[in-house]
Formats: sequence, structure tokens, C-alpha cells
Amino acid sequence: MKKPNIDQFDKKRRDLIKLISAAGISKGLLRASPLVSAMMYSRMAEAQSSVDKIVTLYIGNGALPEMWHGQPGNLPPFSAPLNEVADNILMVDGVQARNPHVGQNLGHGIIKLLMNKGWGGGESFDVNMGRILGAGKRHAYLIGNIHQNFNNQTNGVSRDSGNDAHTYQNPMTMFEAIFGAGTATPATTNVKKHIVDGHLEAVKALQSKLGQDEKIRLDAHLTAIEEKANQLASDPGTGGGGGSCGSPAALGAFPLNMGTIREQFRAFTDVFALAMKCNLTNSAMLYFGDDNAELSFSGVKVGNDAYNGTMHTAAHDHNNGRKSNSCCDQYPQWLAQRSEATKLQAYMIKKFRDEGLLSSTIVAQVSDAGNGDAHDAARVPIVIAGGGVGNRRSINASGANSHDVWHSLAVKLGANESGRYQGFSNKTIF
Amino acid sequence: MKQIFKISALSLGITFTGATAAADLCNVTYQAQSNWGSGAQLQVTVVNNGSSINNPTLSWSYSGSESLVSFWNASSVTQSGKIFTVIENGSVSTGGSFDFNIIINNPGAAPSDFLLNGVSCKTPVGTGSVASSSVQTASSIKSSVSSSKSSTPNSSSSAGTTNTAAWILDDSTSMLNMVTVKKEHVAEIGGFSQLKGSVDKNGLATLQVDLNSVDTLNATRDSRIREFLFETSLLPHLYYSVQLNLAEINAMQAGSTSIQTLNGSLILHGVNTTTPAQVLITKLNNGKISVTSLKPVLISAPLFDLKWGIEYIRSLVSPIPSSIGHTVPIYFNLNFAANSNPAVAALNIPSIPTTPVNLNATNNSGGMVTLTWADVSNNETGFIVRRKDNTGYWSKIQNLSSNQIMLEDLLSNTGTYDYKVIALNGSVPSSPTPIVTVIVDNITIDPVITGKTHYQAMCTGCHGADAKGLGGAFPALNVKREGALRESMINTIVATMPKGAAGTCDRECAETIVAYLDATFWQEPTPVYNEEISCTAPVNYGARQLRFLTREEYQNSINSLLGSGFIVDSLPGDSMLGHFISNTQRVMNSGAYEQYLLTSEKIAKWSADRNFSGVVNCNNNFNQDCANKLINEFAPRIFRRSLDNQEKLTYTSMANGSKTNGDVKAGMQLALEAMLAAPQFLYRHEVGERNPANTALASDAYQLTAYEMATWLAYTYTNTTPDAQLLSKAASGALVQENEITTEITRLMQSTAFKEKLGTFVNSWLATDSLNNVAKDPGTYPTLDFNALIPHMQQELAVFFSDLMLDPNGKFETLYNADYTYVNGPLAQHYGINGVSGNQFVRVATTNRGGILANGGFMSRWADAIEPSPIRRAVRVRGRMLCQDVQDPPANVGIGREQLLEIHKQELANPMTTNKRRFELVTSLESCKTCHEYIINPLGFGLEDFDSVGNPRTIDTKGNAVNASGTLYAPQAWSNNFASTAYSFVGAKELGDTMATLPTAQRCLPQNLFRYTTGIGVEDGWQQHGDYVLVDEAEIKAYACDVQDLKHTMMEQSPRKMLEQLGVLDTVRYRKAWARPTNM
Repeated sequence: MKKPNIDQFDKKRRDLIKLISAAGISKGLLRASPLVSAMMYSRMAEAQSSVDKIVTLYIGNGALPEMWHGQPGNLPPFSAPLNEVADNILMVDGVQARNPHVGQNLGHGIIKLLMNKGWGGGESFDVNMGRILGAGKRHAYLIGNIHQNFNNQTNGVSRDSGNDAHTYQNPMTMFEAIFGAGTATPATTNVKKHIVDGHLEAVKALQSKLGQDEKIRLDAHLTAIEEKANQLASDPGTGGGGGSCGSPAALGAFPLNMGTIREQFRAFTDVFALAMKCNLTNSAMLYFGDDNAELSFSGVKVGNDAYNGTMHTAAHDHNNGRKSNSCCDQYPQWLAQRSEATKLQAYMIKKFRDEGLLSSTIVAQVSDAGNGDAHDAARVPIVIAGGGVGNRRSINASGANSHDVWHSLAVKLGANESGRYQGFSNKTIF
Repeated sequence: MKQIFKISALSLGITFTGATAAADLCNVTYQAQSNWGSGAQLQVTVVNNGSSINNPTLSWSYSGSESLVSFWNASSVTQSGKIFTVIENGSVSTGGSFDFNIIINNPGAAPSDFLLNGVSCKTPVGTGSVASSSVQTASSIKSSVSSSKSSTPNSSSSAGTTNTAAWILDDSTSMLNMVTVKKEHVAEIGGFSQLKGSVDKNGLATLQVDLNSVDTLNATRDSRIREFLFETSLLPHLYYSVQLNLAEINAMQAGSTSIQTLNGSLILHGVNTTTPAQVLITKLNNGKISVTSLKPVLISAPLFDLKWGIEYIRSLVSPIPSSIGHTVPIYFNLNFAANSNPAVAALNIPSIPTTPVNLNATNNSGGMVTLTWADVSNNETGFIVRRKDNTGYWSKIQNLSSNQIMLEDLLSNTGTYDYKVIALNGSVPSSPTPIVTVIVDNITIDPVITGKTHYQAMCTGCHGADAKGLGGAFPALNVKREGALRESMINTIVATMPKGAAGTCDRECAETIVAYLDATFWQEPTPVYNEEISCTAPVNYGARQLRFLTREEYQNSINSLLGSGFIVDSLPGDSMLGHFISNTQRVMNSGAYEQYLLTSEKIAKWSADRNFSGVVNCNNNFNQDCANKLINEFAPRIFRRSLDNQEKLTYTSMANGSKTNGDVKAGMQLALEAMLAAPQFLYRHEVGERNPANTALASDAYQLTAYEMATWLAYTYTNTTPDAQLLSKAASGALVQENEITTEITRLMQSTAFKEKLGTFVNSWLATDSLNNVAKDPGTYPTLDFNALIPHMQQELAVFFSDLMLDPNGKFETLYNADYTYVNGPLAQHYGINGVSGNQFVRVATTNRGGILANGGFMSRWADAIEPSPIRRAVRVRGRMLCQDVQDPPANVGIGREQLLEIHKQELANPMTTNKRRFELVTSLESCKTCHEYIINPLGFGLEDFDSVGNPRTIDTKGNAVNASGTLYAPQAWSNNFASTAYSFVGAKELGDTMATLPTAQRCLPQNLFRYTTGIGVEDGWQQHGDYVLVDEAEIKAYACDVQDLKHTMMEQSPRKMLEQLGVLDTVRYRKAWARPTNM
């Protein structure tokens, strides 16, 4: 008599037994309690579903800690706009804006040390997660920046194999680059290969002429061409560039200036969500301003008076002798400007929630300072949403630093087990 | 490793002499690296297939009129008539090689034969002996000689006989793997891909493993294994040699096997020890054998001094694994093929050097141990000194060059230390010296010694070994400081140094550095500050580089090439270099490449839709002639030079329709699309070529070609691609001559584009190009539409600056002390200047404004919404106008600020508190004084006479009288005593008068102009550039000297003359491949 196919059932049985043993539940209890056994099945099912995507949001210059940190649902003024997504967030207090590898606190001019282990080389957190989680995806990562003035940085912040990672300053261009014009066909794709071949030839000819320095840059150029060549070889074009989504409707165009930073933020958020939904990427990063927080929201009022100074100016304004009928006598301008950014942060979380992505995606907001007015590194505003982490909680991770946050995220995503993981830290805080 | 450039022989007109038959006496490769018609640079490589020879002589004869110009990598090269003779130092074994380079004039046909020590290379091996030249003891092996050259081969062969290989390793089918274990249970497999090996005719089997080829499927781990475990930069090879029974192997039948236990010599990481291996030898057939490990060969880390490396790597992993195994099993399968070519030599291992003797360790005070030994070897390439501390691990503390006999080791902990010294010949070690032991029970940290170590490690690069600075941007530290200034220096080091890695030196470190400076440099009388640097190099060399077009350059190029009408809006963003947009160091990545492709696709389609109007005139007849026109006439304009044959082929094959089903128009569109995203278009080439005719240039220098000069001049002076005249002069070669370059500069400086470029420069320099970053409070300025005013303020600066710079009679001082400005109607109304209306800018005389400092745009930019910002203004005056960078406030510097605000809450809220007083209060924390007490506040307070929207004032927004008394401390360099060098002033105009006289201000303008136009600069000696930092002092000095030249020209002649000089600077015309270390 043939044996039934026991292997399939046997594996599930073995997995369950392992889970039970790990939970410390005795066989006796398991036999006695259907509730316990049902719970164990449920836990195992939950463990099978994966959190494999991350969106990282940078908003510079911190916040006023005593007016930021609190319990979701009852948050103080600086973070109050997040109350509408209270069920989905974890508020993290106690983290110091510090890079432990270099041994330096963060702040103006030091944004690179937030995202990277050091000043040079390696991969930034967002790129590293993208390369690990999204290996094989059409876009290993997506990075957008809004009004990055690179005040003290001569090049980009995010790094890919030691070089600047590609960053989009225009969400429309990002959309177009991801989803294309929907005109790619096998015929046009075949013709594009000749272009790429010609470029490959030219870069190699240049390499033979140059010394080691430019060779490194040309190697990167070669890599970019080769990646395109591989993409053309593997994807003949189907008339739509959007992966599993075909050709979604294009974004509406709008000018890029200080007056449209809200639209830019929402546009980037929408593109990120769409790209993840279409399985095109697993990591997205948005730099909202630079490390001097030179962003200014239009239409902001303090009391009855319009206030349109930048977030940086607002942080140092100390009310300038003006009266205010809101809280925070010292910082009403900062509250007014910073809250606008927090509203956008809430939009991002809601977007991912409404698109059904929040259970598999972590949306992490970080900063490079605690109290931005005091240039203080303590108590950075950090909010983690989704991915099973954000669930109407707050924690105090006293003694932790910025890179412990990265590591904690990496562990949640399972990325720390990869040989490619940069090893931002070895401490988890949530 | 040197590279051999293979260039098509046909294109150079030089016959390429390939390798002669392997059985000939010598194989000579004679290759042209470049040929410029009247001369050529050649690389000649000689492989000796005969017996080992000392100091070989190679000679040949030309049939033409070649003449020797120069040579390198040879002991001597002489010419007698048509005969060239080259002598090399050292010995060359059988199978070994040597190479050298020469430059000749009038290159013609390659020689038909070469003589090695007087014997023709074509002589079959064994038919004649090579006459040896007189024996000289080679004191060292030249680094340019290939690695197969060695002193005494390990397997000694008598003079005149060849150590022929009986079997040669087939590295394509062989493998050598290792298994490492971490966390007790996690096993990982790695391998080595670069293997060499042989068995000689006497049965000596030799295996060489290139340890750099380690591959554990983890790039980070591989890199650490190379650097920390094997230390491959010093010890790149593993060797295993063992005597086999060759007769037995030869007698084996095909298909049979033999088990042998080998006891061979294993050389790894500076240790040579006998290591057993049990192997299975399989005779696959009469020409192939396989040697496979039956049992793994166990490599014990302690035995090979590898424990330290393993533990160090373990400490780097995150999370730190509980353990990494110290014993590594090695598995291998090596396949050998029988060798029938008697000229193919067996692999030689460099000979073992003699062990040093008389190692002695002296325990000096303060933890300094002095080691001495006697060098009794004559073939060492260096020494390695290892130390074992209380961890029990041996680690390298220093590797030394040959002939060294002493080392000082400064210890920081008490304990017992063992030392040994090993001589090295490449990766082959001597036996170690007997171990000497030192017990250190008293460590006295001598701050001066410790400070010296720190200074040399972290400060020398910017401040000089003599603490005299490197001119201008790198201040001298050799001026005595006492009291508060000494404390301020310590605080500055802790908070901000070294640049780019602030936080590396804590207070203890900083105190020792200051102690060292005090003891070493501050005992002399204070030197007088001298802005001038000594420039004695005959030529200042810039860097060979490729610069991505900026977005503006790309757009302008498209306008110039294809006509206006297409707005380029999908290019990757630009990078910044200091204050300026510059893509000099931008690196291509996939996303950017995608955007370039997208952009070129759109442009090509747009042009095709217009029937290529303005590109080629084919009367809409898109045939082969039209396609050829595109490539022959238009493509050179895109690439900014003539196309080479391969490029013509590539792009013609697109344009002629062969890739687009015969559709020529579609083909032309495809070619255009390809060219507009090609590196030839995207990069501005500043690469250069050798010019041996210019004997003033160093042998490793390059000169920009005429086409490259055309490109440089075009983008620098007109911000777009070269026009027809420039291209024509490039084609004729004229643009390598200084007078021709100057003529073109004069022409281009008359263009509107150059004026606009000067406007872009000044607005970038002062950051007034981002005036839209600053908002103004409508409550305070209810009738002001500041956004509408911004372009006018920017244009005011642009017109003022370009007018001054281009004025043949212009003076630098006017930049700061002008008594006029330019306004149009809207600006005049804002400034309260009567008599100006409309949009045209006109010059108006002023008393309370003028120049770039007392300027509406500058003052508005560095102000807050309601009141000015003295801090921002002061920081920008210092940073942008005096080139004295002020660091951002470090984190935690404001701790206590909230309490401070609480304490002063009432005074801050009092409307009678002035802006100046407010800033005094909020920066009064002790931790803030380092920067605010002298450097920032006194300067900024003197600029309170301009409000936040760029107008002079005497009353502030709350009705208080403005006090604009200020002091500019240390205007020359931080090293000056702040209190003794100070300029008092009242208001922006008075400060401008002072600025006009300052050498730092005079240097700062050309320094910024230099950086703007060249894409690199003096400042970049310390600033992070992507992932490297310029460290070559000679390069930084070259830029500093050219900047100094520009300053002299500006001050002694005019700013206009300085602009004319830009294009003929040494650093523009002459380049080197400066080293760029990665910063990992």
C-alpha cells in the first residue's frame, strides 16, 4: 500500500512542535486546551507572513522633546497630528542622535553619519535594506528628496557601494522612471540594446586611458550600463513599465518650489506606495529638507499672524517677544512649522495603511537632532509605524543611539541575517 | 601593477611584433602606448626562455631615423647610430621577464629582431648559450620587473639548465576551499580562485595561492580577511611545496590511483612550517593527473599567527558572534596537465632570507620599548615585527623596508610583551628571531610624545609637519597661545577636528596635541603672519578628470546643438562642490543612467519630429547620405571632437537604418539618442595626453589636447558646447598654444553668456541664488512682496559683479567699497532710490550701500523673517568672503539653553531688547563662547545697520536705536592672537572698506573662482569628496600656487586680467593622475 504523502503534513507538524517547544508550552496543556493550540496555530501563521518593506522618512532638526514624546492617542502638540494614526505607531523616546562608529553626535552638517556608518564607503541604511530585501527587484531602492540644499554636504547622503545613491528631486521624474511611458515593446527594447552596447564600448575605452581614480568612477558607470543591459535582456517590454501593475495613470505635474513642498511630499509618498504595491521595490527613502531644515511651509499662522520662516529659523525664534495664545510660549513658530511636517508624516502612514501595505511595510521617521534649538542630540523624535511594530505604544529606549534604531529595524525585517548587512549596531530597542 | 595599453598597430602605423615562438631564446613584445606622429611612447617586454642571466642587455636596430628621447624602468638605454642598447640590473631566470619604456622621435617600422646579450632572440633554446655579462650583486629587485624575477630559485638549478615544469596546474579546473565556523555551529565555505602550481622534472611540486582571491560570498568579509587576517598587502601569497615521487606518478596507468602522505613546507602569513597532507593522486590519462585531499589539511591559527586577525574580525561583525573557529580545514582538488614544452619553467618560490640576529629589547621610561637587531640577509624585501601581549595573540606592530635594524614601540598599557622579528622576501619569511620579552610595569604618558603621535596621524595633512599651515585655508598652528586662547584651541579640536571626522580626538587627545605644539613650536618668538606661500615648482599640475555636464550645461548644449525649444527637465540632480554646482566628482549609477537615457530619448524624438531641423539639412530626404552627414558633420559637435574609427562604425551602423529595419530616419533618431547619453557627451574630458616635446613637463604629466582645451574654454566662458571657431582651432591643433588660447579667451569674454556666468558665480558664492529659501514676515513688512523682489536683487549683484570684473580699469577694492550699485524700477522703489523706473538696470551713486557686502541681496539672504541674523551674516562673511570656514555648532553645545531662556525670559520678551542683545543672551553659554565670543558675534553685530529685507536702518523693528559697532577679530588666520589683531568698524560700509584691504579677502575671490571653474580646489584637501579625500600635499600646493598667481594678477593688474588668466593656468593645461585613496 502506498504511504500517503506524509512529508507535506509532517513539515507543518514539525514546525508547530518547534513553535510550541519554543513557547514553553507543555504537551499536557496543549492536549487540555483547544484555545492554546489554536493560539499556537495563529502565531505560526502570523510568523509565516513577512514584513519585507521599509519606508524611511527624514525630517531634520528634531523637535521640542517635551512637546513631542508621549502616548499615541494623546500626543502633545508637536506630534499631535499623529493621533489620527495612533493605532499604527510606536513612539520611541530616549534615543540619542549619535553615530557610535565614529563616536560623534549628529546635527547640522553631519547628516551623512545618520544614514551611514562612516563618512565614506559602504551602503546607507536605506540602500542596504533595499539591496537585501529587494534583491532582484527592478528598483533596489527609491530615494526622493525635497528641497535638499546640501548646505554642508557636497554630495548626496545615501550611499550605494561607497558612491552616491541615485536620488530623485522630482516625484514626476521618479514616476516616469519607474513606470515609464508604457511604450516599451520587444522591438524597441531590442534596439535600445545597441545604445547600451555603444556606451559600454566607450566607457571601456575611457578606462584604458585613465588612472585609478577615474577608473573607480568609470567602474560605477560600467556597472550602471551593465545593469541596464541585464534589465533589457530579461525584460523585453510588454507595453507597460509598471511591473505587476501595467501602466498606472501619470502624476499630475506641478512646479517644484517652496510653495509646493506639501504636494511634493504627497506625490513622493504616492509613488512609493504604488511602487511597493506593484512589487517594484522594497525600500524607499524620503529626505524632507536638508540638515539645516531650510524648509518653510506657506500659509502657516501663529495665532492670527502668518509665519513663514523656515523650520530652522522657527526653532531658534523663541517667540521673538511675540504673544501667543497657543501653548509653548517659547516656540509657537516652531510648533506651527514643525506640525505641518508631522501632518505629512501622518499622511504617509495613512496612505500605506489605506493601500493595505502597512502590515508588510515599516514606515520609520527619524531625525538628526533632539531639541533642534539647543542643538541637543538627546531624545530624537522617532516614530515607527506598521510592520507589526507600530501598535499604539510608546517606549523609552534610554541609552540607545540612532544606529540602534537601524539595527532594530533590520532585525524586524530579517535583514540582519544577510551577509550584506552593514552591521549598524548589535542592539535592538523594539 | 603597470598596465599595458594595447593600441591597434594599424592605426598607429607601427608594426606590432608579436611573441616569437615559445622555443626561441626570448619573446619580445614591442608595443606603442601612444603615437603622435612625430614621436611615440613604447613599452618593451622581454621574456627570457634561455638560462638564467644577470644584468641582461637587449639591443636592436631600426631601419629608419628613430632617435631616443627618454626612458624609464631600465638601468640604461643608449643609442649608437641606428642601434639601441638597453641594460637591466638584476638577474632574470628562465621564464622570467623584464620590461622598460622609451620615447622615441620619428617612429617607423618596428625592429625585425632583438639580441639578448648579443644572441638573436630567434635562436632556438639549447642551440647556443647566452654570454653572461659581468656579474654584479643586485641590491634589490626593481618593482617594475615582473614577479617571476627572483634571486635564487628555490629549486636550485645549475647555471645554464632550465628548471622545466613536468606538470602544470590547470587553474580553471582546480579548486581550494576552506570551511570556517562561527557561533560554534555555523559553518561557511570559502575558496580561493587564483591558483598557480607546477611539478618540476625532479618531482618538486609547488603550489602558490593568491590570498587576495579569497571569496566567501561576502564582500565585506572578504575585504576584512585580506586586510586583517592574511594582511595581503604585505603577504599576498601562500606557498606549499613538497617532494613527489615523479617516477611513480609517471609509471601510473591511466585511470589508476595512488594514496600518498605528503609532508610539505607550508608558507602562510610569515610562517614557514611542515604541514602534512594525505592526498589521492589519480592518473586521469597520460597527460592529466588529479591531486585531491583525502583528509582536510588543518590550518591552525595560532601556528600561523592568525589568531589576532580572527579575533579582530570577530569584533567587527555585528552582532558579534560568540566565536570564530581557530582551526580551518582546507580541501583541495588540483588538476595538472603534462608539460611538453621545455621552455615552460616550473613555479619558483622566492628564496628564504636569513633570520635576523641579536634581537634586543630595551624598556625605556614611559612605556617606550626600543628593539634592535642585526640584518644578516642580503635578499630581504623587508621585515615584519610582531608582538604578543596579554591576549596571547601575535600581531604585527610594524612592517619595515629592507636594511632596517631598529624600531620604537610606544606602549599604552603595562604588562608582559614578547617580540620577534622576521625577514621577508616577498611572502617568504625567514625563521623568526628568538623571542625577547619585556615587562612593562610603569607607563607614564608623556603628553608631548603622545601629542606628537596624534598630530602626525590627524593634523599634518592640513597644518603641515612644521605646523606652518599650507597657506590660506589651512592655518598655521605655530603661534603661541595662552590662557583662554589655549583653552579655546583645545575646545575647537575636541568639537571640530580633524575636519571630516570631528569627535575623533577627545579632550585628553586634544590636550596632548596642544602640549606637543607648545613644546615644539611655541617656544620661538611668534612668527609674523605671511599670507604668501612659496611656490617653486616649475609646473603646477591639475588632476586628470572627467566632469559630468551640469543640468544647465546640458540644457545649453542642447540649445546650441539642436536649437532652442526643448526643455530638459528629467536629468539627475546636480551635485555641489562647496558653494557651487559641480559634477566633477559625481558618479554614475543606475538611476541616473536611466534618466539620461530617458532624456536623450525624448530629445531625439523631438528632433526627429522636426525632421532634424538645425541638425542636418537633408531636405527631408533621409537616406544613407543623410545618415553619413549626421555622423560625419554633426556627431563631432556632440562629442566635441572628431570621432575615432570605432565610434564612426558604431554610430553609422545605427544611423544607416541597419538596426531599425532599414528605416534611416528611425536610425538617425536612434544614433542621436545614443550619442546624447554617451560618455563622450556627458563627460567634459580633462584627461590630456603625453607631450614629450614639452620638456618642462614631468614624465608622468599630461597636457590637455586642443579639443579638451576647446571644451574647457567653451564651458568656462560661455557655459555651453564649443562653437565652430573653437572646434576649428581645436582641429588644427592651435589650442595647445598659449597665445591662441588667450585670443579665444578674449573673444569669449565678450559674450553675453560670460556675463551671465559671472552673475551665476557671484550669486552662488554668496548664496543669494537661494534667496527664495528665506521668508519675510508680512506682519513686519505688510506691503512687501519679497518673492517678487528676489530676481531683481540677484540681478543687481550679477550686473554689479560682472561689470566690475570685466572693466579693464576695475579694481578689487571696489568689490567691497563701491559707492554705487545697479537698480531697476522695482528695486529702486524698495531701496528708496529716486529717479529709476522700468526694468532696465542702471547705475546709481550711493552712500549707504554698494559692493557685495553692503548689498540688499546678501543682507536679505542672511537674515530671519523679522530681524537680521548677526550669526548667519558673520559666518558667511568669514566663510564666503574671507575663506575662513566656521564649523556648524556641534551637537549638545546648547545644553542648558532652555534654562537660559527661562532665566532671561523677561528680558527676551521686552520690546526694548534689541536684536543684538537677544543674540548676546542666547549665545552666552560657556560652551558657545569658543565660536561666538570672538569669531562670530562681534562681527555680526557690526552688520545690524541693515534690516532683514536689505535696507539700511538706524531703528530696529521694535523702535530701538540700532548700534552697529562691530569688531573683526583674526581677519588673517585663526592662529593670530584674537585680541591683538582686530579691526573695529561701524556698519557694513565701514567693514567693506576694511575688507577691501585684507589679503585674505583678496585671496578668497580667486580661490572661489578657481574652484568654480576647475571643479576642484585648495579647500578639497580636507573636504570629503564622495568617498575619498585628497591627501597629496603637492596637489593642494599646486592649486594654492595658481590661486596665488591669480591674486597677484588681480591686484597688480585687474580682475579682468585675472579672468583672462584662468584658461592658461598650469593646473588647467597640465594634469597628473593624482592618487586618490579611498576612505573606507
